[in-house]
Amino acid sequence: MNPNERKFEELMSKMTFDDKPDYRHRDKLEQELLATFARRQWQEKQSRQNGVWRTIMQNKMRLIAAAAVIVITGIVGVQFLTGTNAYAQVVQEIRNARTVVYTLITQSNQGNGETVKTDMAYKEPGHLRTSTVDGYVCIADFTSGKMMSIVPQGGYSIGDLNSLKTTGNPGPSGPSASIEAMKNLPAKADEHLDPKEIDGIVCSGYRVKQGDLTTTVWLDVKTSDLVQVEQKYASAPGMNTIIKNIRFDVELEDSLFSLTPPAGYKPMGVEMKSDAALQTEETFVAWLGWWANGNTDDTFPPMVAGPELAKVCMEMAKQGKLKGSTWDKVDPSPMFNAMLFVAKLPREESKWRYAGNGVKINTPDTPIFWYRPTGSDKYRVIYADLTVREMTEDQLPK
Amino acid sequence: MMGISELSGFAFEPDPMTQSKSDPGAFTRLYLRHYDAIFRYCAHRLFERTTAEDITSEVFLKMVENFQTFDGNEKQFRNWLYRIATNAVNEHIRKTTRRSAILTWVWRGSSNSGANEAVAADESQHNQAVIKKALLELKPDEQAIVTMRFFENLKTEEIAEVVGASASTVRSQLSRAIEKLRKHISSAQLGGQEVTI
Repeated sequence: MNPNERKFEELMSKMTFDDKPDYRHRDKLEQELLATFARRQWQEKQSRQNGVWRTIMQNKMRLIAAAAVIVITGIVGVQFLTGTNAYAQVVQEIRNARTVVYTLITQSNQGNGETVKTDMAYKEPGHLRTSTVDGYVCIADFTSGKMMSIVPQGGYSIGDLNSLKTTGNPGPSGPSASIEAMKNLPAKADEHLDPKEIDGIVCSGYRVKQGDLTTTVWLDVKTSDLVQVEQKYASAPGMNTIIKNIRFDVELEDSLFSLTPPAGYKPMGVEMKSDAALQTEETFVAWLGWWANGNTDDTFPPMVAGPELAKVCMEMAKQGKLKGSTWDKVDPSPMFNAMLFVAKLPREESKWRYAGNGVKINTPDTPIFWYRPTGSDKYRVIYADLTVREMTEDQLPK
Repeated sequence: MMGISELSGFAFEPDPMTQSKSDPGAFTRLYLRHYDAIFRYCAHRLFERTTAEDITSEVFLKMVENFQTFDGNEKQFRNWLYRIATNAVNEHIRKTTRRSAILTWVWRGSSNSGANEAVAADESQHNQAVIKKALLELKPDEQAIVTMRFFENLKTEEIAEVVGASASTVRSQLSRAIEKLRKHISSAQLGGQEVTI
């Protein structure tokens, strides 16, 4: 500040103003602002979602893709119920926890073997929320049997959960081992592994084999806290699950599990009709054929379950790879039931594998899917020409 | 309590400004942090409470209408508010009739001293009226810069951001404005004595 300014500042400092804020005006304005704020928020949301939604609705391909998204987010919830996924395993071990949050990382041997991360939150007595990094959310309320899928484009769908339950389902609630029991697991482990560093933490590993499943539990050497759980299935090499960021008894807001659609979201107009009678091999085969005939590459889907399929579907729609003649008029229920057929196959018993990625329909002598029906000692093998043959385990494709 | 923000994505924690766009509570806190400064700025420009309050309301209502498109940190938000306020005040006083009304108000305020009040107080009020009048004689843009610099204690760089000019331009404008003020005030002879600034 130069001397001129300094002199001027001195002069100004002697000035007095009637400038003490009147908080009655401030508070009155606050109310006015909040009303405007709420209105603007609503308008912004409407405008944004209407825009996206209009785009989706104008394009039937995208509508179908959105339907697939719903199906897939539903599958995430179904997988939880089957008791074969990592979450159920952890819940079984640590049942005393009132709430559990964790990140589920699955690596599939299907498609490109992409890794999928899903945030999971569970709250007694039966509320589950799954969310992917892309913003696909599935909320399941096992107490009311309802579930809601939300897609980031501003749509939602409510479904009936009860029809998805499978037999032998361990369920999300009920007594089980506590986190302490999990920490005591090493005493029962089959193998003590050399320490390794995970996310900067030196961990002790304990390996437990339970039939088809091998579980490795990594505990912090210093604190014995659970750091990571890894699961591998002998019958499905490459299909690995990693559970991280596990926290128990975190306070979770009820709003996280609310089945009330977010404000401004619109019903997708697609119902997830689950019909157990239609969750059959026949439906599944028909769906595989429908898919292969409905894309410009004539290939089978890169995978038959998991949230990645939704992304694939969206991408194919954008690239114009979905044939209009097939996709313009489609009932999403068969797709849903077909996926449920796979989702409900007990992993250990059925040992199902999918090998249809990139395979063109009618490619001769090419198996694309096989599984062992419950109670059978033989496998059902679906070929690229959509025929189904029965064979023993030693006859299966290598 | 864990909320959606922590679960809907992966360790997603919105910054306070982002939070203010969706959370009315955070928005209110943001407003309360800036209300006083904006009101004072308006009062320092307009010398009259009721008008200052009206303009303050206008500023914040304009802000909330455009808040969703604002992309910046809280310091930039403050500067944005000053910019809106500057435009609103300038717009207000550009109308000659309004400027005359303010001047009249300023002079009337200076002659409101009661007969029993001390002469010094009279002189002080008179001097203030002279300065206020001198400030009002400036172009609105110049008055804005002077007010921000000397009453709101903003740095030259901050003023530059508010008015959308370079710091050197602001310095030149400030220098010119002070020179004009000096001439106005000198000719008016504060307190019966010529003032040198």
